[in-house]
Amino acid sequence: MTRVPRIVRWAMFCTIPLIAILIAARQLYLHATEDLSTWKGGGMGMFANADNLTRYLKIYLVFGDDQRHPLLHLTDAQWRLEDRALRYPSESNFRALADSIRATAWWAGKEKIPLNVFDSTGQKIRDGTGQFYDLYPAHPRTGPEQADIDIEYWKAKYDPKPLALTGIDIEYWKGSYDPKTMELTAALAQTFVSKD
Amino acid sequence: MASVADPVGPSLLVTRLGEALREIRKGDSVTYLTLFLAVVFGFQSWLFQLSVQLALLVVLLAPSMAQRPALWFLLSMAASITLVHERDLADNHKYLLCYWLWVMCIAHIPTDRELRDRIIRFNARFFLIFIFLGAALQKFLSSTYMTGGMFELELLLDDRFRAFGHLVGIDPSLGEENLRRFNLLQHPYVQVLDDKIKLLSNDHVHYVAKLVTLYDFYVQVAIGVLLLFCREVTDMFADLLLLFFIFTTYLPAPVWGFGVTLSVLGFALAKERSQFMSAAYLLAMGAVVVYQVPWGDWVLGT
Repeated sequence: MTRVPRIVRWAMFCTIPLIAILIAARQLYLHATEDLSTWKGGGMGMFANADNLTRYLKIYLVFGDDQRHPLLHLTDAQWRLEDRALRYPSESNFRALADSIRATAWWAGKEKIPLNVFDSTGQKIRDGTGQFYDLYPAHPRTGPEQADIDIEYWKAKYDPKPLALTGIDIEYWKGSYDPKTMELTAALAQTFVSKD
Repeated sequence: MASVADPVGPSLLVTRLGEALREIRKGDSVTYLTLFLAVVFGFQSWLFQLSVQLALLVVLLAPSMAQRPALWFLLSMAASITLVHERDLADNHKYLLCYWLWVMCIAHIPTDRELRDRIIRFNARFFLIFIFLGAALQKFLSSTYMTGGMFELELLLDDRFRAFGHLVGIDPSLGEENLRRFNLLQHPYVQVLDDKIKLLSNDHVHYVAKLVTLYDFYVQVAIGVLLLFCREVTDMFADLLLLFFIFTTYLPAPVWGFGVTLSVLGFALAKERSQFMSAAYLLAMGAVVVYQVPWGDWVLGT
């Protein structure tokens, strides 16, 4: 049997456990300060919180007329960035998502979609006042163009002038469930604003 | 040759199984089981997949290579690079896999087999305590866990629990309707009054959620605490609880990689001590693999 020095032996036994403890401490810290999900990050807190179900983002493109157009369709890469921002809603993750959206040209669908109003049981109450275009990612923006919406269609149907993208709003929502009332209430936790 | 009718048959089979199990326990089974874990439930990144497939090929051609720290260093590095890249998106059990690969790497540095086994046993115990007490701490600190609200939401909204819910008497249509309402809440083209939805639930769902919460929390605390004592009798109870946890949890919870990792850690800890427990952990590993069949679709008839 070869003799292993005491310090080496200690390192062989304890190095990985110490690293695991440090990473778990980082996860706990980031969970407390930046809302990192308990399911992620090495803190072993899976099934400690329902935040895998109750977090969601609402993303809006803001144009020169100050109207916010909801964004429902993203590229695969943007969905991954969205997922990352949901699990770890830090400013840098929101910025990465906003930058990717800004670097994309968006096309509008032919029909405007009304903003319908529903009650807490999921029944439609009425049509809302707003109507918005359904926006689709078209291609990466290559030039310095300001307009992001499919200009030809937009010009013909909506506005003769190109619409300049002035900002991107990303709303981070969190739901909380009360088992007594069986109500799931969403609250806007944070809005990340990215302006040109 | 022993026939089915031969009274010696079953006892012969048991004897042979016992001998096979003794061989498995004497050999480097933890090493090979870890390689199996890494191949089947490892990281999906191209770097890790490439590394683990090459490692498997090498070990199949030259099994003794599994004892080389260089092989485990390659896998550990590939896992670590992937983990650093995905650090905020990686599930907790991926971290655990990465730690365990490093344990394999370090344990294979000394040529002394006894020291290697001690390193593996020490780390298996540490990580089982770390996982279960860490999880219990996070659950205790959570605002939604101890009330039962967390599991109630899982039962009401999470697709993955619908088949389990159906098995314990929860109508799957509740989940479908709740998901529809929740989708409305998060849809950017929809305004839900007061940003509030009413979920369909009932006393039975409350009861099941509470029961699952208590089971999950106290079994995890018990396993972690029992393993702290490092005594044969407490280890035996910890083994029984851990086996119970693996067999019951990973049927509804589709985190099979975690289930197999726990089985490998349990086996590593028990293999020197108990023939029966070693066999039970191997059985648990097989059960978790079998749990991957689409039984949920069969139950729900989809």
